[in-house]
Amino acid sequence: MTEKSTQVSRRAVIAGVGTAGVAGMLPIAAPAAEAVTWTHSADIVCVGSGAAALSAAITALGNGDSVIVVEKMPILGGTTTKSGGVAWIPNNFLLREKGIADPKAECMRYMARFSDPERYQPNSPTLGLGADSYALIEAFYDNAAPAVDRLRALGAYRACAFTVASWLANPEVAQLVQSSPDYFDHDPDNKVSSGRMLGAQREDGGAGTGSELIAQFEDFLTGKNVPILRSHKVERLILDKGGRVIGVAATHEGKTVTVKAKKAVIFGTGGYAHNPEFVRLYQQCNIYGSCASSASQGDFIRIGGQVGAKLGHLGGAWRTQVVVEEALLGKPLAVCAFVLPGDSKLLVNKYGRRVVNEARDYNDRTRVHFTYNPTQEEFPNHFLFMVFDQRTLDLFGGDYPLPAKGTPSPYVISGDTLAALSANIGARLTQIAAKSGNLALAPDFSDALAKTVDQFNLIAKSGKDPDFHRGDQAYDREWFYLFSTPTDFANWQKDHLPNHTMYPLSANGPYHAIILAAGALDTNGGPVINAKGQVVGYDGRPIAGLYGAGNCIASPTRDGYYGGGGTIGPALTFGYIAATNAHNETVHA
Amino acid sequence: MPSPAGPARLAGWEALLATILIASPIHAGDPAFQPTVQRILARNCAGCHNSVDRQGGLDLEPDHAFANLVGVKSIESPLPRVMPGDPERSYLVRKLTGTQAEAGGEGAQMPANGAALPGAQIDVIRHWIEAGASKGPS
Repeated sequence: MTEKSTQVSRRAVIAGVGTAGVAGMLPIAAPAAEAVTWTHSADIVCVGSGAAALSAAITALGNGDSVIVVEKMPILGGTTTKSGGVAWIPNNFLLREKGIADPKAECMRYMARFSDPERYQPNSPTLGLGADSYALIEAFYDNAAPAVDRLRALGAYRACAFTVASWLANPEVAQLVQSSPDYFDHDPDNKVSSGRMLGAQREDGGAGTGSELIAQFEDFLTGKNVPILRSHKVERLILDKGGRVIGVAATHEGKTVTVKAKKAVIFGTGGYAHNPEFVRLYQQCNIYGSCASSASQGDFIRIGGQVGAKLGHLGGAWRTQVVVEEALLGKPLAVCAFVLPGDSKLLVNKYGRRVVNEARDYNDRTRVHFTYNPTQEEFPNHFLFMVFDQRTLDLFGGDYPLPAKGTPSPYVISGDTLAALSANIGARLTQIAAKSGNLALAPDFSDALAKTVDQFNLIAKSGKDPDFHRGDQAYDREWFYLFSTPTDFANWQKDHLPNHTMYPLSANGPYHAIILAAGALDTNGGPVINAKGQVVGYDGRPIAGLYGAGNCIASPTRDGYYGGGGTIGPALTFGYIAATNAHNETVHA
Repeated sequence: MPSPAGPARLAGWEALLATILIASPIHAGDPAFQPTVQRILARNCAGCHNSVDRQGGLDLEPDHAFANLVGVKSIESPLPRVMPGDPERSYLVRKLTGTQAEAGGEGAQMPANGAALPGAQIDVIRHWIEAGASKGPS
């Protein structure tokens, strides 16, 4: 398919020529038109193939628009395909079917407080948020359930209830799971703290993971003969004389391919977790590793920035801890240290002190790594050390990052005593000093660790953690089981204490440790969108024909990880919003 | 949210296909790699094992998977990734069933995100290997 049109050259765009309609801050001038021979053409061009882009593609197709999906990787799915595939959807069809009300006002308060705690004002018309931030969260609430309903109605998405028990192999453990709550279940404003998670249902009725979600979307699109251009890397946008986005230019096998978008281009290309330069430029602290797709290079920051997109939330990310020595290998991680397994385990910093509730969710727990000590001019929690005993290794081995029995693991550090373990941790840190800012243990780490373990053992026996409240919240107790399935359930159950999340470390070694640092599922900053999913310029006006959703944009929910699926829920929803509004764009010649 | 440890089960058309394959007598050269096994691997494994990332030196994209598996020595163990006719001596099966340590291997059960492949899908792969690990029609 070839078709001729005119475009603004990339050089002209970068120079600010002819982009008055694109970004008000740039000089106004007429562009030099040049002919474009289009390789492909569709009403809507979706860039990327994760939950956001494919939700947009399916929605657009359902609206009667022609669609092309452009993916730079040879396979589909982006980070979604490596994920759990869960979507956090308020007021979803399952809640409604059960007659469980999930009213907007309460849910908005929950989301606003979680996303923007320092601005949250419950009595403010915008809950204390900026009008634009409020509008985005409101758009999420208003459209999340309709998005899922639409995807289901089209036959593209088999959604089902998701609970922690959905993925538990051991039925005895599954029976211990009650509510599978949101990640901030104890927020007084969270009136429906469970039931908002949807899974991608396999045909046998169980909840699949992200690969199942992507497979369903892919099957739908291929069944409708939607062109999916794999290994096509979008390099830039193509604009018309008025500055409207009318297509993209991509490279494929060394050649340039142009894809015309008669209505709009919708980006869903992932964050920048695997772009070291962007991580260094935008993040306060290093992201040591990420389980994002290797495609997450911040493409939309570069491409959107070229046409004057306002950039926002650039320092944000969906956080998780990672095993430092795995991360330092430099490859995208298959899995991160999400829910830390085991009960006789604790996290300590370089001073041998606990600093966080180890059972807190991965996104929020990881933020403790960024605590700064202005006196010492350091990040004392830069690395945290997961210390555990042989009991936890034996009982929970195989639940990542604990290695399965009989399987060697180069990143597990061991010692017959806590003192020996401390020495060995120190030696290991020396080996990786060049990549950790020469991080070393405090001189009294060993003594401090011994005291911390003694203290931990006392609180484990009492079941009450006065410092960090581990196990107090339903989240701690329920999600614990997802990554802590005892290999000997009967003995564990006979032995465990009332607070299942804690158990005293053995009086005798060996003891073990794993070094953890801050990582990310992916970053979540980039071009800013409005409540219609349109990318806006620095004047606040939409860039005509350009939309975004997912981790490639400034997160509409900021860093609020509302519950399981707190990333994919908004991604699906804003993909739907973008396609719905793009449908109403005028068709350009 | 991330994918957890726990049982994955058979998905979609693969469930039906697996049922058919398991219920059917195994004949030489049947089942073939394409498209059944190829698709299971592409959808569940190629997120990491692709031509860009090549985790473990392994590329399981549809066009590359067969050549990366059959008769190719594994990196982590003395076993080949796929030994035609012998699933137990195929490291692919060992990694999918979490029995890699017993075979002299290492690392985690695959998929490494913790969600094991459904047993029926593993059976499809096992039967393909038992039947000779043929490539099948292109």
